[in-house]
Amino acid sequence: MRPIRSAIRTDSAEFRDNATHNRGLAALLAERQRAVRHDRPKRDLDRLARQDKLTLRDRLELLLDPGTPFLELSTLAANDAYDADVPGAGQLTGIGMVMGREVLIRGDDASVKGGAWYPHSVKKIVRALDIAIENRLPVIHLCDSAGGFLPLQSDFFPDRYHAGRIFRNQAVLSKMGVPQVAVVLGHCTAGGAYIPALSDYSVIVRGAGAIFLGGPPLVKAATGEVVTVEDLGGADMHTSVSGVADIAAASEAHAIAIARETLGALSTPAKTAIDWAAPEAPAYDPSELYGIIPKDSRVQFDMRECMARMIDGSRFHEYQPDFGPTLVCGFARIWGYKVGILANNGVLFSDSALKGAHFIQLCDKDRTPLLFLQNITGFMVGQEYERRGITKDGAKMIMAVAGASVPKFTLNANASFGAGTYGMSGRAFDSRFLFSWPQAQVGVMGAEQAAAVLTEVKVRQLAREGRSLSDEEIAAIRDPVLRDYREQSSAWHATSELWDDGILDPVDTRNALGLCISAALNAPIPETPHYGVFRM
Amino acid sequence: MTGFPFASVLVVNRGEIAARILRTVRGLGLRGLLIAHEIDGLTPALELADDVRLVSGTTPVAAFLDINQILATARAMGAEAIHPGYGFLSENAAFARAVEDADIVWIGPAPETIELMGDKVRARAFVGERGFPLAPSATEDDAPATFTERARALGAPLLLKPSAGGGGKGMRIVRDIAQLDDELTRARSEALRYFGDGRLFAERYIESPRHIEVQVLGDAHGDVVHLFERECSLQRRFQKIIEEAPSPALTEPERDEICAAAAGIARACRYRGAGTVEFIRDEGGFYFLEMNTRLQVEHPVTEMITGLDLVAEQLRVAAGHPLSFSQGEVRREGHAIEARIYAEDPARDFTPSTGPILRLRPPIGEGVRFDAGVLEGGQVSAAFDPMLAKLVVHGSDRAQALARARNALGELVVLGVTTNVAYLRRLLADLDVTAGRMHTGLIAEKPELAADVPLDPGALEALIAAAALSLPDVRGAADAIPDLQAAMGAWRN
Amino acid sequence: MQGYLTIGEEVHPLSIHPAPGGGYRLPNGKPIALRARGGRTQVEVGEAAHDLEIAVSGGSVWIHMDGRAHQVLWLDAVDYHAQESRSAQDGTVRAPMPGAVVSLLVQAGDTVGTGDAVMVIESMKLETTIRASRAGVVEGVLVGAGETFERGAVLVEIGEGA
Repeated sequence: MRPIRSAIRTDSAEFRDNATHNRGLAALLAERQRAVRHDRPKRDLDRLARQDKLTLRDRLELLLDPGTPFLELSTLAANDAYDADVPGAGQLTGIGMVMGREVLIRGDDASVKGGAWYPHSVKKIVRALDIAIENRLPVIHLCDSAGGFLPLQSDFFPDRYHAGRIFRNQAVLSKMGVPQVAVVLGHCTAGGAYIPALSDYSVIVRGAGAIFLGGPPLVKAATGEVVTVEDLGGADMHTSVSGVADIAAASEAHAIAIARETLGALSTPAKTAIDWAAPEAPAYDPSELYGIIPKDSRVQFDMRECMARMIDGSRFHEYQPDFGPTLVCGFARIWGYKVGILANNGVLFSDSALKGAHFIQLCDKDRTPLLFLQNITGFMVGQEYERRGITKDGAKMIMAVAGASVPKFTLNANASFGAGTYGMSGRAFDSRFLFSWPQAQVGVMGAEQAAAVLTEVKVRQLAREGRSLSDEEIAAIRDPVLRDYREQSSAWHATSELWDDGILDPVDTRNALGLCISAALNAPIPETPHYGVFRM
Repeated sequence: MTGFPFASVLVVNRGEIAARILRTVRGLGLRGLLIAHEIDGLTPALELADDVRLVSGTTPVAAFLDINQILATARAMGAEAIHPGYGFLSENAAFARAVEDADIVWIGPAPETIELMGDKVRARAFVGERGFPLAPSATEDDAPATFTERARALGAPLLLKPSAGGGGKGMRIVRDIAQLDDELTRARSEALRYFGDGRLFAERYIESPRHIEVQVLGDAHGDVVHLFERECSLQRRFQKIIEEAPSPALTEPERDEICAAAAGIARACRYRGAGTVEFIRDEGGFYFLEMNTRLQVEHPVTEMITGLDLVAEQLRVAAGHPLSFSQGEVRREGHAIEARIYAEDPARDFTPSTGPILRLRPPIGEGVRFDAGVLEGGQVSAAFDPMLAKLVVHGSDRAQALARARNALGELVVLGVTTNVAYLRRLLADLDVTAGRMHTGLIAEKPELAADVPLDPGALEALIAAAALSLPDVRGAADAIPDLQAAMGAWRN
Repeated sequence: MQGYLTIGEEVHPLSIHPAPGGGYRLPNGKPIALRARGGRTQVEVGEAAHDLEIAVSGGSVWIHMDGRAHQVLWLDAVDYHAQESRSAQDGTVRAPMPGAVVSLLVQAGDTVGTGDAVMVIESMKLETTIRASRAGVVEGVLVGAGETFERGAVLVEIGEGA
């Protein structure tokens, strides 16, 4: 594969402007993540200290193999909900290395509302376990939760993908033979009690960990029985009388060490093998991405330039370079793994959609994972295109995306609107991981377009009633729509709602994707791909 | 004269001295026999012996004190001579007599001499009567009723010792004469417990004395020579740690005087074989302490300055030969230092250390002698005293001997048990020791020398790295990390 | 965390990281290696190298370096934390050094207070009084008079008591 030849002028004013803007966004991302990870009200930290508890971050460092990477997912979940009062939705999820194995780690953050589960917390946990199922990753639960946040129970309890899904996912993981180790470092009350109970292995800290369906206050209210936390659900009782937990530990560090040792004692199945070569750093400096991504997201840029800063040796073997040029397809390597990349360089036409559908099938047969780099506002509209069947061609691309059996990875590199999102393996299409860049947007259509459409609708409606509007009145209709759309389609909002698995600093993308591909290979790739009917 | 009337010598001892004796025995063309206890496993002595029998007892030490078993073993092995080494039965007159009664040659002085010098009270009386210097003292036997008063009259500081004792056990220093009654009671009960005899004697305790002892050698024909003195002032709780020959404290006239006194004492009791007369020396002069009727641990320093093999001399004397040299022919050259290597942890109050000898690399070099009692692959148990080896070094003068000793201690590798090697090195670098300003209280005055010297950060890091890479678990944990994660290191998004 | 090393009195958390392309590093990034050079072993830490002799036995690494011997004790994380939490309230009285029992001062059933003498032991000319680590009732005396034992051996068990 030959390296992409970059045409970017890194000394141009445009490059410098973009870089300033994007570095600012990266800094903002870093600061927001830092605050979400570490800033806590003093009284919550004091309470942890009084209870002799480590912070969740400290627990994580004890758990991980030293000197290994950790890819945190959905760090900024719920940043745009609950008045930003529940950082990270009170949960930590991510993929790290424990005893030389890739595992999915999830933990309750007891310094955030006592680790209580909000609707976003439940969604984050369900998503984490879905990742574990799809990628066959062992799970380590760091349990320390006050239980569900009852005032919002209708948003996290009754529905199919609410809290019950957590336990259903745990059962499925166990059925699949994917191990889970629960480390009970605090209370596991009511629903939370089922996490250790449904885990294959559990460790509980004496004096701090407790598992019970109802805590002492609830028991007293229900039956009048008076009993201490330790007697009701403490470590010694559960590890010697009830068998609900497996091993009692004397301290948090002890418990985490036992969890590591337990995981190390389990067999490690072989990973799926795909085409791999020794990794090579990109030929261009990844920090040039800051200068390439336009500061105005409506400005088009060549996705190949971004790819050149993310793929091994900047080497790319392009497929059908002259056909359907608005979709760039081709093979590259990331951290040695061969991947098939589909990247948008403009709107999707019939030819690009067909090229995409074909290329997806090629990669599927070749057992090559797919990487979608989204910058798509949609499919082309207009009579000529409709007559040529753009809708059925788009449908074929969607059919191919949905049917692909190789792992898919998606990055919203700038825009992800309309049906283009579907064709480019958006959230609904089961990519193993989906990330956004800080400036990216996702929505049914762009904010300007939506504002224009809605304003136009309103103007016509009023015209039928005989009224016409002044510029100010039009602005008064348009501006709120614009503002709302912009907010709701921003990456910050998307990540808050867990429509993605996290926002990435562009320069971190290569490492994140490398770790994701490696994690995905813990699951097998089915032998024969098959699809639904392609409307020809 | 070189012939021996015995063809074999049974060594009824263990450790380094057993090996050392066997080396000379075999060097003289005699068969070397050995008794051993199972718990010692493979030892240098075992490797040198032509034949060995195991002995046993209620404790391992008891096995080496079991006269009947030892004699029966000697007869079964056809031993024609017995060398007792030091400690154990070496100063047991009954044993010496039993050996001779069994028609086995006893490598040592006559039983009567052992008895005489073994009884501290009789020994002091013998020596005092013949005009040799003694420290002021009070003996209980003389007049038990007045003992306490006589002791009190000596004044503080006072040293209480068991009459039947030896080797530093059961000794107490009384600094406050008002405590005398209390101390006497306790000393008595200890004496009773250790030696089965509660009698005491008291003597003026000489503060900061120097411990000087003289090696003597006598034949069966009444001829006695001295082989110069040794200084053994570096002691911890009455146990010698470092010894040297000659003493840096003596002038030539003093040397002549003290050595002559020793020879005179030996001559007076018709001493046969190798023995040592111990003195205490301060500004006022020197005083007889006791006579040891055996080969001593530190004899090698005398060997190194005189060029003699004392065990060979013992065997010749036991064979009935007259001394083959006169006093005038005894010459000394240079300076020798011995350091006793113990399996103990000076930083933790000298707690004995047990375990396997994983690695033993003796130091080599000019003037270096290493008498080992253990082998690499052997085991140090709590059954016996924890002395592993003696390092003996010779130099043309004291400074060179000290330097060589320090180097040799640095080169010596003992791994598997904690040893006092670093402590010995620090002692031999101490300014008072290098200046020769020693006295028996010096080590007690410098407890800080026993502490481990902290490591500098570079050395600490090297140790951590070496340990980590040597532990399969630690290495394995790092090996288990796949290349991708290893390349990314501790990356976080 | 992989575990803990004890050198002298100090405990050091230990982990080594894999270096990219093989080899190992300390957490501070310095590459480390053990090499055999002509019959001797050398440890390299970054730019520095030290000659040494190493012997490993169980969880102890004995190292002779720069003229000094060291015993480096290794405890993996599970053992270290389990041991760390064993409180002073533990009623197990262990031998501080190898030796033999001189005299027993208590028997099973006796009530003792913290610090009471329970036996006298001897270890080569050194007598030591062993004391109760907590108050309670003696559950068992596990060595008899004259018996020998190794360092760390359990001598007396003291229970909570009536």
